[in-house]
Amino acid sequence: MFKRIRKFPAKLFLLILIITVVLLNPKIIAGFKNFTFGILTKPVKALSGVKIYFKRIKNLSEENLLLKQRVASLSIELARKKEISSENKRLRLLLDFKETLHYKTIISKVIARDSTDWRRAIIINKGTRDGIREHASSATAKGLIGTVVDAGPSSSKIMLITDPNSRVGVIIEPSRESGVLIGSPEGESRVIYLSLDAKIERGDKVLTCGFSAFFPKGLAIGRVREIGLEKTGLYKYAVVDPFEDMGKIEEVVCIDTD
Amino acid sequence: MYRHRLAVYITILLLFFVELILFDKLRIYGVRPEILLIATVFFGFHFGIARGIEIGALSGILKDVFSITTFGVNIFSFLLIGFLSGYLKDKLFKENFVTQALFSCFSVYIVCGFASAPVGAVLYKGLYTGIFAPFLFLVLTKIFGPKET
Repeated sequence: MFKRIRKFPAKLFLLILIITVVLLNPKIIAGFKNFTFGILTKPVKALSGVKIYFKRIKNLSEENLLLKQRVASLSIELARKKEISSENKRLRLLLDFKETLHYKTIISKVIARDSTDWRRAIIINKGTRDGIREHASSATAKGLIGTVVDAGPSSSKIMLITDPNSRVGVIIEPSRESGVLIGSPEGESRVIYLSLDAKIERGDKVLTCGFSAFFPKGLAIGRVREIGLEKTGLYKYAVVDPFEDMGKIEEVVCIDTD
Repeated sequence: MYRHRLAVYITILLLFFVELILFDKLRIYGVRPEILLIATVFFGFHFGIARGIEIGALSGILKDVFSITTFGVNIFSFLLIGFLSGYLKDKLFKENFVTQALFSCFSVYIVCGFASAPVGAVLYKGLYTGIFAPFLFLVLTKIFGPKET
């Protein structure tokens, strides 16, 4: 037995002794714990950072997708609001214009244009059921645009003043010279049958003369852009720029002069 | 047979709306391609005189209903194009893009001749239709063309 004790290495005994002393000292233990904790937390932190990074990327991509969807829906909403606002502005103008007329008026929307490209006509969403009649004049807040040539029960066709078959009696302000406004295949309007001594200048205003039973008097049409002499040399003509852009009409007022 | 005819009629109706509404926003020099005319030529080329006349008449009715031109002008001119394309069914190499484009282009000039349309607009319309024709032929051939076995 003593031999076995004697065989126990002195170095090991010393080590156990030191460990015992160290374990009994709380300060040393705390220092050791802090040191070890400090070292071990570094990789944990790093790993946790990577995990958080990937989690954040996942969250960000989800958030990005949601935000993209939100942006898309808000863009659509904004476009719709802008369209409503623009329509509101146009309708307000039409309403103001409507109140200046002392006739029965019907506001309608343009739903299509003539199926051929050389006739200038629009199709509106109101017809005889709404009180629209053939030959009723049509205008926008800017001025006269045409006349109803075909009225169906729920839709009608309006021949624009730029159509080659359109004829409107007009006067030119301020000279009060009268003539006939006609359209052309190229979509141009011109006043014909103007007397040779007519004092007309560029920029003069063209208005309806009111001789016809279908067009109210004094409705604005456009301004004179160019003046010339007919090939026959018997009359002058004036090319007119309509106030309304005929390709961009969206709402019209049909005026019933009866 | 009736199902095929119904499909053709529905296609013509859809093409008409595409021309009237969608191509109204895709005008070049103020003109749109004559999609219904291309369709009439297609059906004439592939199914003969009778079907060409039938589709031409239907297309012409649709064009006339939505126009302020004298009713019947488009019916007559489209019907004539349907007849011509059906008559030339076996005389022309109809699968060739150039044939399709040229025939569609000249058809526009014939139709416009009846409507006393302005020369400038007709010229552009013919070209626009001619360029567009092979694409529509391709689509219509996929739907109504001969099936490979």
